[in-house]
Amino acid sequence: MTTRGKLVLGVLLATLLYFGINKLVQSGVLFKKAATESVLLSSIELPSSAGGSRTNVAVPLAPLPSETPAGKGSPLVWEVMAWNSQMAGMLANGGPRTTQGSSLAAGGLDMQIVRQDDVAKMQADLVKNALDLQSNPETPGLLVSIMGDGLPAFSAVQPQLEKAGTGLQIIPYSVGKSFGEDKLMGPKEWLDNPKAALGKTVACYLRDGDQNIALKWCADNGLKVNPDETTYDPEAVNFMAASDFLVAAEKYIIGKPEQRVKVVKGKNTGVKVDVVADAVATWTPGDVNIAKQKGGLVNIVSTKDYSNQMPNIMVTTKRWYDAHPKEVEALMTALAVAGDQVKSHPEALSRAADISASVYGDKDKPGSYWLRYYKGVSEADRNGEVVELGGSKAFNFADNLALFGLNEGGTNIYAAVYKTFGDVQHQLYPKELPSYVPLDQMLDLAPLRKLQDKYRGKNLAPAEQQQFAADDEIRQSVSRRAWNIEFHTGQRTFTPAAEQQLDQLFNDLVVAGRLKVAVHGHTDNVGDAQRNQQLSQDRAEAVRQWLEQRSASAFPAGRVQTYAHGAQEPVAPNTTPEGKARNRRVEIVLGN
Amino acid sequence: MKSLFLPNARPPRTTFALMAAGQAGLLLLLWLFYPLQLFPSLGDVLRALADLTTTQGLMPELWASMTTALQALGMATVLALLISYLTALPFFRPLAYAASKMRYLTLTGLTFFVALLVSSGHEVKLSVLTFATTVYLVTGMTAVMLGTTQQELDHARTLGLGEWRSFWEVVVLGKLADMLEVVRQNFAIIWTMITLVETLYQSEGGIGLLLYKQNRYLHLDGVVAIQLVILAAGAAQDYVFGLLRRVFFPYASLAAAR
Repeated sequence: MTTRGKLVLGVLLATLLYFGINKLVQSGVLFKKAATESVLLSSIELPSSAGGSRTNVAVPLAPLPSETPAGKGSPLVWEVMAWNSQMAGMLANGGPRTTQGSSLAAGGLDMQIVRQDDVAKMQADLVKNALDLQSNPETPGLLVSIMGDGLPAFSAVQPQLEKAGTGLQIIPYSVGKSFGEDKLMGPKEWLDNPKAALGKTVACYLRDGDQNIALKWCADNGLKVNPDETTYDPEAVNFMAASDFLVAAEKYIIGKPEQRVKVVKGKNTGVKVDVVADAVATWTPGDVNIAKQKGGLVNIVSTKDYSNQMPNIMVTTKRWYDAHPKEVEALMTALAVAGDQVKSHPEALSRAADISASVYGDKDKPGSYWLRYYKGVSEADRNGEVVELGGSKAFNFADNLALFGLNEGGTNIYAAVYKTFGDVQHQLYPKELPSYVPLDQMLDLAPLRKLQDKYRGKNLAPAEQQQFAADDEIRQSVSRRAWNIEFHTGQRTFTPAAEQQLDQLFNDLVVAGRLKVAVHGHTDNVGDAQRNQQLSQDRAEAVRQWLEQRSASAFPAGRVQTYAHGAQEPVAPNTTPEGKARNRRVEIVLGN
Repeated sequence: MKSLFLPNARPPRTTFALMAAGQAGLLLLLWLFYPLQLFPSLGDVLRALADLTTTQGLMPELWASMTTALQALGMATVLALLISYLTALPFFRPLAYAASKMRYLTLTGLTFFVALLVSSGHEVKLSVLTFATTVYLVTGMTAVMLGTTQQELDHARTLGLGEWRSFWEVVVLGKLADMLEVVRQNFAIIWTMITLVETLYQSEGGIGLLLYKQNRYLHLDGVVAIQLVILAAGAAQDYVFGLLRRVFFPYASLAAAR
């Protein structure tokens, strides 16, 4: 055969092969990709607690730590991201390496703080540390700090640790939390009309805390979300994957479209559509970049609202934890001492910010930068819209008792956060996260209880308590959603089926700790108007009482308000039994 | 048997095939019976492979990546051939020199500018892949061209061909087989970059994205399974290129030592 002949034959064969395979792949006859339908997340519960009141028990200013390394004590390494919630830990250490006069040195610890922004590297380091500890028990222990709502996904490292003969263990003490800096930014109209977000796309680093904020907001507003980042569902909120939180902001700033397959009710329509980022879930300085380079987005919701979503959780290996009870106690004590200092004294906070700067090592970001965004600031964006940027909080000992539910009338807020976001991530990504480690396998509150007993009766600085004024109505709502809480006909008592709904509602409200809760009662049109008015009032009250009884700390007086509407605001015609059932409802509005 | 350990020996085909199969088998047995502490076992990897294929669309994703890779390779080959043939003209030599040196550039950050220039995520992916492949291809192809000996050119001239014609016969047509070899060798670059590129724009899927997701949740068995699939795809690709070379340039390997 001539070369030309071969060429023609070759091209012919290649073309046939290409279109053949293409047809085969697209037909889905051989290997079908599991179809993903958009999901309505039943509820994302964020426990609620502390707000912003100043502590009134004066903790005297302790001498600040020196800059000379202590050079002795049990060795320890703490891997952290550049995250402001760690101010108390920074002060406790006195520098990147424990210094003389620091509270950690006083506890006989010698800790090296290392910046590590890569979660996969953190996981690998934990496994390596477990192996090293196995061959040499003198190896320094490794602590890793991650976002509390991200722990279920992080716990994917558990099988690897089990192979190394150990497991994950939580230090039952948190140094602080994100308080505003993690957020969902979107068009202003979403504030008044969340439904406007349907068919829109949020850019974010998927399967992480920032996406969790967006997911919670969608759940709170009853919006479906499309878990498949390669398709577009016009009836759900879609996501655009970014490789990190800064790239997420970049996707919005550049505004270039991505092509996707349109999906309706889980069915692939085969139609290709162009999708751009309409909103972004990110954190500082991603929000700063958006404000300065493009503008046009406002804060829809942030960790200031969902104030319990992101505590800083430290994990280590069970192997180290079990062998070092004294060190664990010393660590918690040192962090508690420093937490009070950072919270009460500007000098201590400013020193902690300087230490942060030297640990994080960004040449262009001095201590003043970290201090500024720890407190949080309001700045005008390119279009003159005011955007709130940054915001974190340090915890003291009493804050921790509240977080883990050891205070009076308290709930384990962190347990609610962990379960909530573990379930959400599992529901959205069943293939990637088929299961997550139950919290009680990793969390042991005994050390915290022991310290609590030790300090009982002593003069402890109180936890921050959010104050809610009973007569202060919600001015800016964050979410509005109808809850199908069933009552016995004509009565104010719950049916057994309602309990499950109430549990979910409870968890949801706990995460959104800083938001006020308005309970709106509605009835159908059966019976006379006055009686319906009273019934709707009674039912709203019943929900309020249930919540307050369940946790006095999460629902302090004034947080929950009730409103009665009788049969005046039906959402469906009262002509059918289904319509009536839909009208007998309780609506929950969260807001500031 | 002895010939297996002799320099430059040519053992019988069957002996050689048996030996290779034995080596592979030994490796598999080692993996099966002496699992490492953290490395996933063979059983786990096979199970993950089955699951990825049946429920997570491994094959369609592989095909999506393969077509992207082939598209990029096609464009890069045309571009690189053009640039390297142009080096025959002194005017264009700096261009080839610069293009070849650009393989030292790292792609981080560059994607931002590319995104500003083109209109969609798919184009960004293609441009980044095409760019990276082109610079490697240019390097290899110019080396092939520069390897043209004086003897080859003189031979053409003595046949009475002009400079342009000699260039066409000796360099363009005469080196096509070697160019194909350069393309084959550098195709691997695309596969090493595919994960990076596919995670930049995740909406189009691809095997790189699947790999990234497996790694994100530390499903190491899935990671190994996908890596093996990529390895197999690469080997198949190498074979096809070898086949093309044998079909279209049957004389190209005449001079090779056997």
